[in-house]
Amino acid sequence: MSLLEVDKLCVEFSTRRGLLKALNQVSFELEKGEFLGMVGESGAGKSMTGNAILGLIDAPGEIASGDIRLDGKSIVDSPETIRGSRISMIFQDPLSSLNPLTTIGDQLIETIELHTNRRGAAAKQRAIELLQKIDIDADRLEAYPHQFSGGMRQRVVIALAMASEPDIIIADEPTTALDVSVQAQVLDLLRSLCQAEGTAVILITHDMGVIGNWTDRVGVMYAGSLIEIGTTEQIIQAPRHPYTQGLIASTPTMAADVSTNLYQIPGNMPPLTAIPEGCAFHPRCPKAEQQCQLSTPSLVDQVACHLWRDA
Amino acid sequence: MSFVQIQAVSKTFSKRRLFGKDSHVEALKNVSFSIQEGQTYALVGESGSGKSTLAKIVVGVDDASAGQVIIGNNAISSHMPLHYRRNIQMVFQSPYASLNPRWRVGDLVAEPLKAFKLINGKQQRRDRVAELLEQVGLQADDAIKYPHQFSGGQRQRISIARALSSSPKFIVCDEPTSALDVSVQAQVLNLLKQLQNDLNLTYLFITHDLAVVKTMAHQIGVLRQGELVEEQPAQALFANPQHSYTQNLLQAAPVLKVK
Ligand SMILES: Nc1ncnc2c1ncn2[C@@H]1O[C@H](COP(=O)(O)OP(=O)(O)OP(=O)(O)O)[C@@H](O)[C@H]1O
Ligand SMILES: Nc1ncnc2c1ncn2[C@@H]1O[C@H](COP(=O)(O)OP(=O)(O)O)[C@@H](O)[C@H]1O
Ligand code: SF4
Ligand SMILES: [Mg+2]
Ligand SMILES: [Mg+2]
Repeated sequence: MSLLEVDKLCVEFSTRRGLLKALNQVSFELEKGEFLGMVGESGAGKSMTGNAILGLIDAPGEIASGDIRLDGKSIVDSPETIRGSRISMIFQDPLSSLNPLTTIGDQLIETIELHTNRRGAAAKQRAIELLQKIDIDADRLEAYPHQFSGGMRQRVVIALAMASEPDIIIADEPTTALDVSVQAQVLDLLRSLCQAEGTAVILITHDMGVIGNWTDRVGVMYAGSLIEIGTTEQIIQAPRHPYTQGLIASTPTMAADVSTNLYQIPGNMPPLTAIPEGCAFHPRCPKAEQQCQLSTPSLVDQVACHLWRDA
Repeated sequence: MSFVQIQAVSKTFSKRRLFGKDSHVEALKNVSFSIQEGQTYALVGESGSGKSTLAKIVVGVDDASAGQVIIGNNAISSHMPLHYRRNIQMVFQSPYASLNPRWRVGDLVAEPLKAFKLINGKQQRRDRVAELLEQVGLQADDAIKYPHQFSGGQRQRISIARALSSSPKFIVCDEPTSALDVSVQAQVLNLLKQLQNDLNLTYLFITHDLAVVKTMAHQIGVLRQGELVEEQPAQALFANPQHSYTQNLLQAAPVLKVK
């Protein structure tokens, strides 16, 4: 049994333009302590997946079918507080997760007391420990969020996410707003802390470079579906789904130079209100066959593509 | 032949304070480089290093505190004559912010034509807009639509069509693909390269993404806290970065290593 199991998850929104399938049969597992990336273009459903796990899907959206299990027990109907102590989140904008009017020390202590059995001096001691882990001096406990730089704030957010001693951290584009050198520091820190504590991470990003440098496994999303999942090495060096192949080929790498063009995937990702019948990628797929227009390939053996069936 | 010359450009921003001393930010310190005709000069650097400040001075939206910018044979400043301006255009990061949502695409693209009085008559204008839209991979009848009817990548194509409309020789691109997904970014970067080849355009390309630089630049300058700390041809800079700051930037860059 895996730590987290997302099982044929479907999320739907009823909109004026009709039913929108934001997530379509998304299935994957997360093991204890692993660093799983979720990659895809904007609107592919990465954040939606994270939000569903966190119980943050609001009307008019709903989990239409499927299940999410933590240690084998369904959490789809459990109140947010139960998840809150076992699953933490980190968002792109650190200011949205920090209270501007409270010192970071008080915010840490409050979270520790709420989610662990440390109280008073023990909670404060733990807060100091966490600050040390993120390379911030203990005397900054009294500081307010606006007194830190962007990178430091995101480190404080990491400490805050760790404070409840969660099993899982969901980090949604945590470094998109940061410079590359600061991004590297923040992701290195997140990785080493989670390794030390055995915390699993789902890192949501649209940046293949981040995936390649910081994750163990990757799921690739397209138009609301998880279309391929595998080890980072395998996805980058030997992608099987034609969309993943295109995504990697269109990413600028150090092999490129000014005399070469980047690979272009023809066309654009469809809006979720107009997902094509059959394989959602077929109008853009260079390898599409007739059956691709007729039946939707499900994720079997880690890839959702007819080419990899009965081979 | 060098087409653009940035000569010892400095820029200081002063903030008046009610109490205490006025504060000064030295956004650019004695920056010099030149750009060869038909080539791309990439300026890389972290947030706040002065990239956009330099861009604004180069296109004559803002003035240097010291030093000068020469493009062709013209000295650039915020009060230069109008006919200098038509040779210099700019493409911004956010195609949302830079395209007025209430204007039709055709009017947006034709705006520089009007501003520089480059066209007479409706038919001529319509033909030129159609030509420009097709040049950037859109369709002639997209002219009657509004920006919100397009995706991010398509909107960036509209911005490029507009920048091309006055037939400039030089375009400053300030993070033109930072807001785009990789597959869309590839389309826009390829388009910019193709236009450079077809029209012999000179680019100043500003970005913080080193992998993008690798595919776009002939020459690279590294800006750090307003100072140009290193400059080399693209191949050489990646193979053999000299300044420790450049080395660190390359080290930190999350570039995909495909074997
Ligand atoms: N109008 C202004 N008044 C005062 N300071 C300014 C002004 N414009 C820019 N600065 C300062 O000049 C420095 C350089 O800013 P600039 O916008 O050129 O950075 P940049 O390299 O483009 O950064 P980014 O990657 O974030 O776009 C910064 O310290 C900035 O705060
Ligand atoms: N409240 C909502 N009503 C309708 N559609 C929504 C709503 N919230 C999100 N969506 C749609 O769900 C899709 C997936 O969004 P999201 O998970 O945020 O994508 P991303 O992969 O960029 O994180 C998008 O097409 C988005 O427009
Ligand atoms: S199922 Fe068919 S259309 Fe879809 S990715 Fe595979 S080959 Fe392409
Ligand atoms: Mg998102
Ligand atoms: Mg800028």
